[in-house]
Amino acid sequence: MARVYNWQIARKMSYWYGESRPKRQFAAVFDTNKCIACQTCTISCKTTWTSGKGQEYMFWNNVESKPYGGYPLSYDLKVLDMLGSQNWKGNTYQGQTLFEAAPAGERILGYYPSHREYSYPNIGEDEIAGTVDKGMHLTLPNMVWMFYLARICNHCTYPACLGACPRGSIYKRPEDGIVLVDQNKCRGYRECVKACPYKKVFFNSCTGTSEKCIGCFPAGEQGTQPRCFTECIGKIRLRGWINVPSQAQENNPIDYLVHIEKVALPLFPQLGLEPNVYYIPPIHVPEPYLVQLFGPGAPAAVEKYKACHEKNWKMASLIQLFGCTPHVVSKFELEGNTISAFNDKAEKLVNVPVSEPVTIREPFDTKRAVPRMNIN
Amino acid sequence: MKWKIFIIALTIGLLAGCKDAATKASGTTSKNLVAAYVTEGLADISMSSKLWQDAQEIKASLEPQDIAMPKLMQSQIKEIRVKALCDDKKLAFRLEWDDATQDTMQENGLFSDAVAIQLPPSPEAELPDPMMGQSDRPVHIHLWKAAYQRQIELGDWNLRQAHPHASVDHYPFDAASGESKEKMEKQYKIALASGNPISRNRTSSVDDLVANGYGKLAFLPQQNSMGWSQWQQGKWTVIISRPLSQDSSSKGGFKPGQSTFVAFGVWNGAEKQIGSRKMRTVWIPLILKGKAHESQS
Repeated sequence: MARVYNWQIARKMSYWYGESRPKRQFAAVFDTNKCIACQTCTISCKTTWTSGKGQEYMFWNNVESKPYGGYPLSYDLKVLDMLGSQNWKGNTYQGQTLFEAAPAGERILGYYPSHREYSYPNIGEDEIAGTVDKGMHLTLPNMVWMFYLARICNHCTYPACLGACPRGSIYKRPEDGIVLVDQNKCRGYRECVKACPYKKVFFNSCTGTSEKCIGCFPAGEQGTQPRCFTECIGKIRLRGWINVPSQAQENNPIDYLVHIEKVALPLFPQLGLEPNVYYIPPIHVPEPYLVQLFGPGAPAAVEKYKACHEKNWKMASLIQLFGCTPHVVSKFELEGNTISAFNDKAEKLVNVPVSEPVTIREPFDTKRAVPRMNIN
Repeated sequence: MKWKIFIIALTIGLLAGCKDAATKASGTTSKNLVAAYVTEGLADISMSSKLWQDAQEIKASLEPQDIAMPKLMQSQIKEIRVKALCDDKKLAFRLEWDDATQDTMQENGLFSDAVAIQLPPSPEAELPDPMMGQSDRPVHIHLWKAAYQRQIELGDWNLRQAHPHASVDHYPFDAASGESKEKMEKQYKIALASGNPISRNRTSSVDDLVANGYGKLAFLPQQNSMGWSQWQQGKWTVIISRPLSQDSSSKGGFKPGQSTFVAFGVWNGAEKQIGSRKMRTVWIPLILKGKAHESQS
């Protein structure tokens, strides 16, 4: 195995191929605090890409209720359990990645979900982490919690699916870092299904090949965000590009949130894949759980996010930009009360007012001498 | 006296070990598989054909594929029993092995039972590496899968074959008809649309393949082989029949009276075996009897 640098775990690690980063890397930030699990993203993906035979059970995009939900069933718990207890020292991961923990004869530590595990796409929906005792609902913050985690393929820098394929049928596009299964070359061995810890590669029984989220690359080639982004009702998602930390650009929205403010974090960085979808963690969830999901930076990210309206107007403004343009946002600019998005050609995509004037409607209309029934 | 017996036993053991090691190193075994020559009946050979009664059976040891990643570290199936027949046009194998479960589905965590025959393209060719050939010495592989056989028996894949109580609201192409329906349906079968033969409508339960090493398995331009199978009381019996010559130009291939080598691979679906996770034999000498030997076979 080659030795490669994974900045998310702040160390070198073993991988099946040498470090070869694409010219540009597809990346996204999801604000979990804004997700309402309406599943519009899931359906927009489903109707666009996976409505065929053999794809019935596939959800390239899904939204699961944490801590109990997961698709396929308990994928995250199974992977973490297989890997066993591991340690971080500060921001450096001292445990084993999935590549380093591979058993004899295997390329990567993984498992095949059974067809039954795919049979409950949203089990645990809206379930909270514990029981609500008498009177507990009257106290704030609430003692019990849950949150929604929207997931697509992470188009990892070190994809486990790519590393596991014995035929070289999976590749990472040099122009945008999107990871694809070559449908002409795949023989349906399902090593990728076994290896991907996020379980975002699916076997199609009708065609006999494996399929996965394609990051809506045809849209991306036209400068448009993926369907699950543009259809998001909660405006939780922003699609752009990410640089390595040493080349982070302050006016690149992804770099700004991930590298500069460190408020958006990768999902399960300890697995070693350097995933490229980043999450602003939920603000109401116990720290140990957040650290397990998003790494040691989670508590600080939560505090920064909570305080941004008072202490970091730029960050607060940028979060307002999510979901305001269907186009890929390469740069942003804040001027006064207006935040603007720009594409690769430095063309302005949209101006968004960060705050709008407050108008107070009195409950009684003196002009017409009638009470106002709807003043909210 | 006891010491003498012990030394003799040790010597025999060591020699046997040396023989095993030599077999593994060279990838061949000295046990011959003889394809009996028949004058008729091979074109429509069946499982119960009397022709098999006269064919000589050999037992070949199956070893886990533990060289290329991902490897198979252990397996329950230890041997395969093989018979062979030939005529002037075809070469047929009757393969039998013990397998407690009949695994015919390819779906998520379900894997298909399978068996494969590996041959050099012709007897003149220098013997390729027994593990899927090498860059300048390809091998021809004829892969039978229980899932392929199932597909032929049940017809085109649909969800209710595997899940009788499943329901689908609709497929986008349901509303279309004729050619446009077919075209629209194909849009969702990306592998088929991209020309991957693995997704084609099946007419045979055997794929004719060529390999130039690990991870380099590809379809041969012509698909000629046929397969028949039966699973009964914990035992698979599979017949694979291929033309002596794989392509219509008659280049390469075999003729009655020639000698070559053959190797076999077995996959146990219940143990999630697929691709390189398989059991294999070494090269076994294969003698195709000719007309002159007909009476003896």
